[in-house]
Formats: sequence, structure tokens, C-alpha cells
Amino acid sequence: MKKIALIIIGVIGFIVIFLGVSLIAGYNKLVEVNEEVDYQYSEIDRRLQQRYDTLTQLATAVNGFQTHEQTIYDMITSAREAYAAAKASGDLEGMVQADALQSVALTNLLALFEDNEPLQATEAYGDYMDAVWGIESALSEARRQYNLSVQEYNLYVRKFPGVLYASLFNYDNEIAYWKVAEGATQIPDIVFGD
Amino acid sequence: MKSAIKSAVILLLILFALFACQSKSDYPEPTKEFYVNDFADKLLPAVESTIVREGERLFEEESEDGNISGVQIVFATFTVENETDIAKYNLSDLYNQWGIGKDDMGVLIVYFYVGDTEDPSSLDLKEIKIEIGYAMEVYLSPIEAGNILDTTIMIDEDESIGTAHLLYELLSVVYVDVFGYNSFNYDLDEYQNYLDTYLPYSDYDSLWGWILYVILTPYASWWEKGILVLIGLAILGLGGGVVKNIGGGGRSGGMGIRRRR
Repeated sequence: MKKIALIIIGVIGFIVIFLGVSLIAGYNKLVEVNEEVDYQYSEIDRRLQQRYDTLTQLATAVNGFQTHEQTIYDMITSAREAYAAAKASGDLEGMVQADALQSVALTNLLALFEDNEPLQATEAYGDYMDAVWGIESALSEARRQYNLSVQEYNLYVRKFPGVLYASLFNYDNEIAYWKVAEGATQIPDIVFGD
Repeated sequence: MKSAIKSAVILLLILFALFACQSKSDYPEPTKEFYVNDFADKLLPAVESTIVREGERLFEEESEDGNISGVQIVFATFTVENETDIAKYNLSDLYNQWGIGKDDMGVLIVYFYVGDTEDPSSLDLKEIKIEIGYAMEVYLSPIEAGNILDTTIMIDEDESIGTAHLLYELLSVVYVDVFGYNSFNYDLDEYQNYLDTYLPYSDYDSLWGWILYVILTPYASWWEKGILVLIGLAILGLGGGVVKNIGGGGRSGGMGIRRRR
């Protein structure tokens, strides 16, 4: 009788320890994948800020070279305001929208550069294009890394036992991917040395 | 019956272990020299030796406050059949897989050669990319990296000189901007002399090739073969004579520049 009681206590103890360890490991994994998403999001944020700085520099460069400055400045201002509002609210959709607005402003600026021969002849032209290519490349990579981290998170919280931990600890059961307008994720095809 | 179940369980465990260990990397592992990874087999041994020597020296450098050390500049060459295949290479993934530079202080330079991958003589250098580690972005912007490419490998007629020129310009940025040196001087004419007089057996790989050649060739005398066998064994006994460099664990985030030729 005593032996059976010991076995039952042992089995219950084993189950309690097993559940406890699983719970701790599962919770830690949940925190880890969630933290990675937050980190990658902050990386996109940092790159968007860098792109805004690059846009401002480019806008200064075209100043005086073309007749539609106001339109370009309005576009950049809209992109900046959308970015600041989205950042303040922490709204993913707003950030994606701000990203798209910046892309439009950048594309228009590059078009102005292409149409402006005196501007292309300046020594700084190549530098501006390098800055644009660099930041677009970095932003594209930041978006990709963010989406990879979201994919890992979503897979974890949908599969067993992650689904239980997410529900138990009140974590989102899905995080939205960073989806941008078609073509906006592509790095402008700036070719040198041909 | 029991043994069959036991065998099945062991087999399943082995399969699970193999699956768990499966490598997810898309790119080759770096060479043991680490700083030069000439998969296209296009760089001269002398240039490779320079990249490794300078790379090892730079890795040992430390800032005065001790906060920065382990900077790494790594070269890689790849062959592709056509230029569109270059887009399949994600340099951030490659950089992160190799873990270049301690605390993200690294630079990766990749040469893409296009042509018949089976025939090295048909390969032409078509694209050069520079990937900059997160922390290195502060010291090396895409503008600066682009200007360095434009004044070195993009205009130097000789690829070997161009590569050395590129390396020395990058070293100049690191030594001056990162480590606070007043200047970093180099002489390309002197480097040309070095290329012309380089002894192919002055690095470890070639040394081993030479030892094996002498041991196996019918033209060497038995006492020469014997001495080299003893030297070879002595080097092996002292640690193999194999220098293995490794990455500092750095990461990059897509910042960089490219040029097409």
C-alpha cells in the first residue's frame, strides 16, 4: 500500500516538474520570439529615420534646379508627418503607410535627378545615389528580417504547445507582416560604372 | 520483439538528432584563413597573403580606451553563370553566417565573376559589393565606400593591384577614423615589387604543397625527402602548422554599396 502511494506521489511529482519546466521553457521561448519582433521593428524605425534624413538632403540638393520644388517639399512633409504620427501611436499600418509615402517621395526625387542634366553633372550626384542605394538596401533588409521574425512568432503561437502559452500569458496570436506597396521594397536600380 | 522496438527507438533518435543538426546555411563556410575566401580562384596567392596578414594584424588592434577591437575586413569571390544570378546572394546573410568583426565592426567585400564556372580564364569581374557591419556604419558610409571603390578596383587596370589598393584604402579608414591614427601610408609601387618577387611557398598552404611535391617527385634525392618528412612531422607535432582564423560574431543589416564593371 505504502509502495503504491510512493509510486503515485512520484508520478505526480514527475508530472508537476515536467509541466513546470515546460511552462518555463515555453514562456521563455515566447518572450524570445516576441522580443525579436520588437527589435526588428525598431530596426525598421531606425532605417526609416535614416531615409528621411537622406530625403531631406536630396531635397536640399534639388533646390534651385527645378521648378516644382513646392510639390516635392509637400510630399516630403507629408511623409514626415505620417511617420511622426505613426511612430507616436505605435501603429504598424501607419508606419507601413509612412514607408510607402517616403518611397513615393524618393522615387519622384530620383526622377527629378534623372531629368536634370546640370544636377547629374555635379560631383555630389554620385554621392547622393550611393546614399540612396545604401539606405534602400538596408531598409529592404530590415523589412525582410522583421517579416522573418514575425513568421517565427506566428508559427510558434499557432503550433502546439505555443498556442497554449500565448493564450495563457495573453500574447497576440498573430502579428501582421510588413506589407508595402508593390515595387516599394525594391532597391532603385542605380547602376554605376557601365 | 523487444529488441526490434529498441532498435526502432534508437533509429528514430538518430534520425531526430541528424535532423536537428541539419545546417540551414545557404553559403559555404569561410576558409580557415577567414579573411580571404577565393571561391572563384581568381586572386593571386600574393594578394591573398596580404589580405590575411593585414586582416590578422587589424584584428589585434585595440582602441586606446579598449572599447573597440577585433575589426575584420573580409574578402570573398564567387562565380555565377550570368549576372542575374548575383541577386541570389544576400550579403547580409553571408556576413551574419560568417560573423564578421567583433561587436559588428566588420566589412565584407565580395567580387562576383561571371562566365563559365568550369573555366576560370573565361570569368570576368562584373560586380563588386561591400557590406558594412552595423557598428562600422558610423565610420564607413555607403558614400565613402562607393568613393573608395571608384578610386581603386574600378579604375586600376590590374585586378591584383586594385584589390590591394581597395584593402589599403579600407584599412586607412579603419586605422585613422576608428583607431585615431594620424595617417595610414602605403606605396602601390612598392606593392607591385612585392607582387613581382613574391615567393609562392611563403604561406602555409603552398608550403605544404611544396613539401608534398618534393616528397613525391622522383627528382628529389632520398635525403631531401627524409629531411622534409621530418620537418613535416615536426610542424604537425607543434600544432599542425595550420592557422585558423574565425569571425568575431558580428552582424550587418544590408547597409553597403555596389559597383558594376
